[in-house]
Amino acid sequence: MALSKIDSDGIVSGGITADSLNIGQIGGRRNLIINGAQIVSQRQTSKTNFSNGDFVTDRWQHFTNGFGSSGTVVDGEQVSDAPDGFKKSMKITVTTAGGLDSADNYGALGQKFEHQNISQFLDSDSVTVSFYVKSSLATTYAVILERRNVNTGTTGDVYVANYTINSANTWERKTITIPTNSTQASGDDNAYGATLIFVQDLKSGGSRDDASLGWNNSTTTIQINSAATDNGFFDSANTWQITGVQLEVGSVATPFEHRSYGEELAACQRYFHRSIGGTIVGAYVDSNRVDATIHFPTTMRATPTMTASSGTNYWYAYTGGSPDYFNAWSGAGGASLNNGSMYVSSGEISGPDNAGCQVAFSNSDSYFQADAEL
Amino acid sequence: MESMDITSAKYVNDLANVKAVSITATIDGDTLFVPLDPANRHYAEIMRQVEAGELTIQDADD
Repeated sequence: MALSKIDSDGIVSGGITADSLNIGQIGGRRNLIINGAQIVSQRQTSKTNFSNGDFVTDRWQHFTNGFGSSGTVVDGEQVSDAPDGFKKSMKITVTTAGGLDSADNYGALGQKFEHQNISQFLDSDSVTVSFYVKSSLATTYAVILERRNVNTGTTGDVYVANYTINSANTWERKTITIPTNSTQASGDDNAYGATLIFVQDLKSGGSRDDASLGWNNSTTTIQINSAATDNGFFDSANTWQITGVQLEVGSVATPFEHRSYGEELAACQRYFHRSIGGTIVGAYVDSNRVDATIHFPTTMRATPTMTASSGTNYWYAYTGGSPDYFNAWSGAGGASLNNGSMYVSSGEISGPDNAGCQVAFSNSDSYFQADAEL
Repeated sequence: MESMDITSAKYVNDLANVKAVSITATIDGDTLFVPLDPANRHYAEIMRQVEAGELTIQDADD
């Protein structure tokens, strides 16, 4: 800490506190964002034709409603290009440049929050978002913090801000302080409470382009100020990258709070978990059906949707002797926040009734996924 | 912000065939095994579409 930042009154009085250091909160966990440094990517490290709802880096979701007939295609990718002090960033690349389809169409990247992880802060204090951003297009972009109505579950208020990239292809750090929002009733559960959204561009001429800078009472999630519309991002083969995203209580952007990979992965696994490789315990409940239970590494936000990869001989059950191969799981049995059961019921398999077995991930593409995203 | 294209949905009963425990659904072209939890986003969207008359969930196999 530079001594020049220490308030002299604090020294004279003999009590150096966080306030006298004039840098806001300095202890504990400050960053409300998960995977702000874009280091965790359980699903994939790149996605061609990055579509609405897709994830590349964990917790960061793509939002778009309108590439449609424009022909525009964007790819999402976790890349190693990052500012000093970081190793990764999330990159959006316009691979087919057709612009936006029609008025109100947009492309954006955002992260959703549970009520219980953000509502109390928005109620009582300002919050500050800081991030490192880089784009091939130096222009004005929008940032939105939308807050959900606790009763309806839909958008209630939207904070709208703009930022400007001053130099193309150069990492820049931006900070935006968002004042207290006291108009929404506060939620205190695992439901969808808010979203921080970075908009690459939005086409004007509809109902989403005339929001005021600041808090807007609105049921429309994506809306921005006119100064950040029609910036041309999707008209050319542009790129946009982000990392070091921090959202913290108070009006000061403190240095990015780095967490270990293990800490970030565990935080991400509350929302999504991919299990790869090894074996799990199962049982032949009859000669043509095997059930198996997957234990999640952390308690999930909600009972997750289960999926599993499939392909020729992706899985096998084993009781001794020859492996009993099968291609795909048939469905899910009961599940909880901590575990879920899957079953295969098929003529593909044949084993001893009522016998325990080992179920193996047969190759490197075999996986289970548990999805409890907001 | 997200729209889900749900083309099929069918209940799955527990092993004892006593009660439904999940829905096997085709969402955006993928087969998903969805729990009956209102906090799950896929289940919430399935039920929204059912209530809107846009989707019917098939009964479980006996």
